[in-house]
Amino acid sequence: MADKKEKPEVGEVKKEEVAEKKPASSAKTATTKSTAAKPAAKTAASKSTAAKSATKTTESKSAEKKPTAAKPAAKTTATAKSAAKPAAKTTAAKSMAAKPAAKTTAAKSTAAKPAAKSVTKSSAKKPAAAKPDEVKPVAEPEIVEEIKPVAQPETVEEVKPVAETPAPEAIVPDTVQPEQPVLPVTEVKEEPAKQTIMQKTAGAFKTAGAKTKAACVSAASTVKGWFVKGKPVEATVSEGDVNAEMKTVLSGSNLSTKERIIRFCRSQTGWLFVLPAVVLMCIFTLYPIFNAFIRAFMENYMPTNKAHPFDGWGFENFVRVLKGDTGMGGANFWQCLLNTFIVTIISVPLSILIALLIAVALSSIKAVRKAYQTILFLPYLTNALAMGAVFATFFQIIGTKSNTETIGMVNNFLGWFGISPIDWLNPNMHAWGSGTVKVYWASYLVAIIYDVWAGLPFKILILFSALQSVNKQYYDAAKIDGASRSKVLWKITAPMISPMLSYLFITGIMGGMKSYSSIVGLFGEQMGRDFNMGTVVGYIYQYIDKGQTGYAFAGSLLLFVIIMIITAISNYVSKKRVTYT
Amino acid sequence: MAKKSKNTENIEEVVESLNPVEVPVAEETVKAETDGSVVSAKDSTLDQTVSAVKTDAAIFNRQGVDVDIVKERKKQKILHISKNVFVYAFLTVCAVLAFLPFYWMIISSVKTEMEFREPNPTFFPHTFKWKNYAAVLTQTSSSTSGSFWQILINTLTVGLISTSIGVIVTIVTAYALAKMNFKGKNLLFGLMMATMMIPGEMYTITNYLTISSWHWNNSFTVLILPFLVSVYYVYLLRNNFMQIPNSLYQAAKVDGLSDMGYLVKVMVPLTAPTLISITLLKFIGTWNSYIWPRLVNSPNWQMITNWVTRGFVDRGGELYGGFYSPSEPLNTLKMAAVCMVSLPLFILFICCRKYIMHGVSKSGTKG
Repeated sequence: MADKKEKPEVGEVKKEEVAEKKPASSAKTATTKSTAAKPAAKTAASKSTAAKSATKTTESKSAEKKPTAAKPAAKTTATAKSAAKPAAKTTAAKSMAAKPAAKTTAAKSTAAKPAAKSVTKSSAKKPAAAKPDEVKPVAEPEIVEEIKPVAQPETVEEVKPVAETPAPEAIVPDTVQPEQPVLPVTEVKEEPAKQTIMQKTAGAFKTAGAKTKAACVSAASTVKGWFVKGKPVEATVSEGDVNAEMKTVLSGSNLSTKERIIRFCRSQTGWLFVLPAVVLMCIFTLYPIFNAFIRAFMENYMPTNKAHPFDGWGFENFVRVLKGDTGMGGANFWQCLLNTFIVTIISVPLSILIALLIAVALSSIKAVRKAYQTILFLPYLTNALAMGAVFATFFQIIGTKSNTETIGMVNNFLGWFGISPIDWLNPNMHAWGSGTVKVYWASYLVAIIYDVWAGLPFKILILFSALQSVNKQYYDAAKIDGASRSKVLWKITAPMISPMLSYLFITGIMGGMKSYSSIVGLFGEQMGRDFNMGTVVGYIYQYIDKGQTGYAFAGSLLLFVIIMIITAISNYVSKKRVTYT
Repeated sequence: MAKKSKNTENIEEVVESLNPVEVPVAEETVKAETDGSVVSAKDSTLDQTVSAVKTDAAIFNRQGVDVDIVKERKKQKILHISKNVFVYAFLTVCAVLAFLPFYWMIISSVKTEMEFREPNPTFFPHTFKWKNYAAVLTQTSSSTSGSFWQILINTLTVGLISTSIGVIVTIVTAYALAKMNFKGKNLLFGLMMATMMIPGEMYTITNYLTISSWHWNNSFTVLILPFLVSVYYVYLLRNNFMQIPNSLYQAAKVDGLSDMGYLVKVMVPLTAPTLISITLLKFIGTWNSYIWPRLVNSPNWQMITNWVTRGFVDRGGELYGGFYSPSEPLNTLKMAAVCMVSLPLFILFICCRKYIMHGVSKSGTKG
């Protein structure tokens, strides 16, 4: 700003160019003002809608006048700029039709922002072309204006009136507008012919100061108006004003009900955008949730019997499901729950651990990383049923070990260690416990191996990107402080990736409790001899197939409650252990 | 203490390697420095520490350091090489284990059934039986499954339509949730987020009942419509849209662009990578869908994963001359079927690997 003081001529020349550039680069509604703006800018005393350029020229000149530091100058520029908008608003409101005025106001004030930005670039370019050594002092004040966030909320506010007005009305301001700038310019033109340059500049300073003060006052009253509740003040109509009707419509307090409704409806166009999604979600997501809650409590629900669809309201469905005896044959709920729970609780942490090791290994090599990543990502694309069948062939026993029958690759492998072959896919053969609920450890192992293999690529991807995103500065600081490698691992790496770890854990458990396709792929549609190895979801589908939807609803509600409990516990634990940056 | 000395030694080494001139320092001064910095001379309980520090100081002695630097450098190099070897070995083992099922699948599909059932499984087939694929492709539709071509057409149709319409609906919804202001926007978004937590099985039963009452069974609409909008992708795309600055919107408004025009001409090109990822993941999701088609459609209208679960038999003994009974499911045929189901996804992956991985890591779902 000190440099600016030294070369006022450049400043003046630049301001002219600025005044030219601004209307030229803003919307077409403002192009008609550009010719008017030029002489106005020269005298710097116009009351036209190029008041922004005027305030800009005046404010920077007033900054030159007061040799203060750049900050207060920047403050005045910022406040003058923000004041220019409500000033422009009120000035436009005084004189135009309501809707076109709103559009032009918004267009002008929104034009101010991109205009300001383009001005920065253009003013940075122009002086560079003209006098290369003055780029820096010239460019500075505009950049300072840009950074100030004060101007930001104004533009957001003005988006709304723009959304209200439909596009076809854009024609109106073009025709109506040119009237306004013509009047004041004609007044001003008489002055410069009689004054000297010194008198001109002195007069310009005075009017600039007055304008700034007026703009600040009006800005302050607008801000005050946001917080002071009360009846909105009607815009005063001055005498001889051409477009007096416009003001009364704009103030909004005397719209008819019909107009209010139209205006409100126009502002809710967002609902049209989300309509398909909302309709589909209501039918297929929200309604089923309510329905599930209601139907689960209807006893003996039979939709085919129209006269007597259900017996009554009660917990019988739940009691029957939890007792494990539904009188229909089929799976036992507790067995299914145990299956699901054990497989999930073992496979998810194991999978995360292996994925972490692989991710750490991947991030410490550089050479062939992409090839390894591609190969390790392959299991993601597979279908659970297809790959389940492939895994089943590893474990399958067809007959006995003879010349024409095989006992599977895994059993052969175990045979080297002298372990007798295990019938992996037949749950009943190897089970602990002897009640109705058994632990089929062999089949669990098969399911765990498959789940770990299938869940690995996703976890590797997420953990790898989490490891890469840890800020390298932490490691450098640790090196400087002489931290050992285990300290670096536990104190820096682990906390930084803990959000991802907890996310993987929670989603892994939620997905694991809902597993179904993998079990069908491994054990076949019967899930191992009469649904022994079924999961909770398999239980639900089994009862859908049988037509007993009551038990299916009860089962699904129980599943929902269980998942909620597990998620709540995981959330609680992660809040304590996870550090979020 | 040994560890500490090693670390400090490394730093010493680094510093010395930078310093070209080696200045001989007297032992006593070094000792005095370390004594002063580590422990106070009057403290008797820390004598042990002092003696340990003194041995460190002995190592810091110029003559001792010269020999140790070379040894240390050798040791570090060996450690570095062995670390790299270990890491590469571990990664190779993991890659082999990850790839093993695919390899097994491919070679099993061209084996003869006898060779498949040998007591010691072979890793490379003796004889190649390409007729497996022909037999699988020509299996006619039965009571439990349709023919391959019909199923393939089903899957491709459903996949393409569902993906295209679904992506459009997702874009529009995410744009409205990100940029527009309308009453109840936050409530709607909160509701959508809440439904993410609920297991899909709760909807399935009621949806099945709804669809049965509307008689939508055995059609394509029932496969497409219920899962058109996936809340995960709406959430992901909304976050992407919110990152685009508002000034672009205002500049577009100034130029007279409507909301829809802004969406099509500005937002979509800017978020193109994410959109490609979402498209690919949606397509992979429809390809892998199993439960819903099995529930609502008859076998001729089902998807390709349903087709895989059928048992493939040697009808009419054309493959093995009646060696296997007509009702015995053959594993090699099943492997051939699995190969064909997985093949399109592999091709897709090879073409668009970057987008798929980018989309998975951003959205965090499997589709």
